[in-house]
Amino acid sequence: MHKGSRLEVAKLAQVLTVDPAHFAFLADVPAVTIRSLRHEVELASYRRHESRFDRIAAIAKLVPPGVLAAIVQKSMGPQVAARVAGAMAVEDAVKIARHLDPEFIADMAPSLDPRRIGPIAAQLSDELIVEVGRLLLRRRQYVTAGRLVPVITLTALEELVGLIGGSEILQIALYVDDPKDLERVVDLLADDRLFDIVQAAAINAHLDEAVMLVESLPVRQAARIIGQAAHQTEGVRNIVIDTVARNRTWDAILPALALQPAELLPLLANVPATIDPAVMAEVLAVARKLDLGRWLVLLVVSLDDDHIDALSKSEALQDPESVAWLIENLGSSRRLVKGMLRDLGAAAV
Amino acid sequence: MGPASGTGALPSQNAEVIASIADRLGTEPDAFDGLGELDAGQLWQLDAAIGLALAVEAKNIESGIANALEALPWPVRGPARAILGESA
Repeated sequence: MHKGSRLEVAKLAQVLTVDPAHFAFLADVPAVTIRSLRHEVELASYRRHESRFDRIAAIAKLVPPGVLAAIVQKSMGPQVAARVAGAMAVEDAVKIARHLDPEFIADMAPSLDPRRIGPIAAQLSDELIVEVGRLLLRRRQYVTAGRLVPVITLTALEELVGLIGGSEILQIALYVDDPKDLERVVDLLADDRLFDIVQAAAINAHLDEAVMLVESLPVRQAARIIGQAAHQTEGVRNIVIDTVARNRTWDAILPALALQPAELLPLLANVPATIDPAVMAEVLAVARKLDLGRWLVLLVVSLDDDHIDALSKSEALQDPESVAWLIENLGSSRRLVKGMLRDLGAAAV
Repeated sequence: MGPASGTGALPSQNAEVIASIADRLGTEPDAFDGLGELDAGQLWQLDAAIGLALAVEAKNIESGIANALEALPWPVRGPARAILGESA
């Protein structure tokens, strides 16, 4: 399965109004291809009907907005209304939207194209946006909610996030397209909410996707999330680290680990998933690549005996080049480092 | 609808279905190079779902516009039809 493909399949299935299970075979297609297909499907509607949408939009100028809103709700249907909204002049669309029932806007939401309706949403009241958001959450339309995060103001987003638990926040975050929008969401979350999200990801088997999200965040935000992983039970900590190891995402996670206070390192390092010489070798290799030698000292001294044994069996310590790098880059006296490496059974010390 | 999955699709069949998908969407087949590894049955399934979604939407658009026109106050119904290029 390709990274992120499962999420993209869910978004495509929503656009095509089919059950995601119908497209399970797309999990082997790169996420970027599925995303491109979804964007093309969304664009296709406008390509095929653009001139009609433009003409309908022009009719909006003939009828008072309140009357038109009533007609749209009663006769046009939410899908068509969503498409027309994307073709209307912003000021006309805003006037009509203010007269629409939030329930109807929520019905329209799955068919709204966030790239087209951003300027409209920006002029609607937070009260209306939050009400529509509440309805989407009540309907468990997380894919839609995630797609629409970019068009929600920060204050409305903050209010909505305050209404829901970690599991729901994660469900929405998984479907946010642009990492920049994800950053907005994470910045709104206090540490206890991040704790809930990490826990929910582990319990609901969403860690593969959650780790992928963490990868896309700036290191300061990734560090906050990893910090909350350290406070979980050993079982959850092990699943988190195992997911990082399986997905080979140390490049993104090590810089975040390196920002953790020393007292948290043993909690994250000494889990069953890391009693593995291959995992230890990969961590050393990535630390070397990222020039995290000084931090490696902290990591090594935080390891318990079982993990020291795994480290001593790692191939990295049998590679003269790696060993030479360690001697020069751990930031301690060479004599001390050599002694430590000798004790670990490293070659060519 | 094309052949069922697992029929030992030939690459040329894949190219044909991808071209069909691109044609439906009004774009170029190059945009979907990543779909080439699917078998023809899966591609047909995808093509059919896209075709169905677009057809349902087109039908919804037709009926939605017709219903909305009928619901317009009568003084603006004529001008509205004219804007849409339909006979009054």
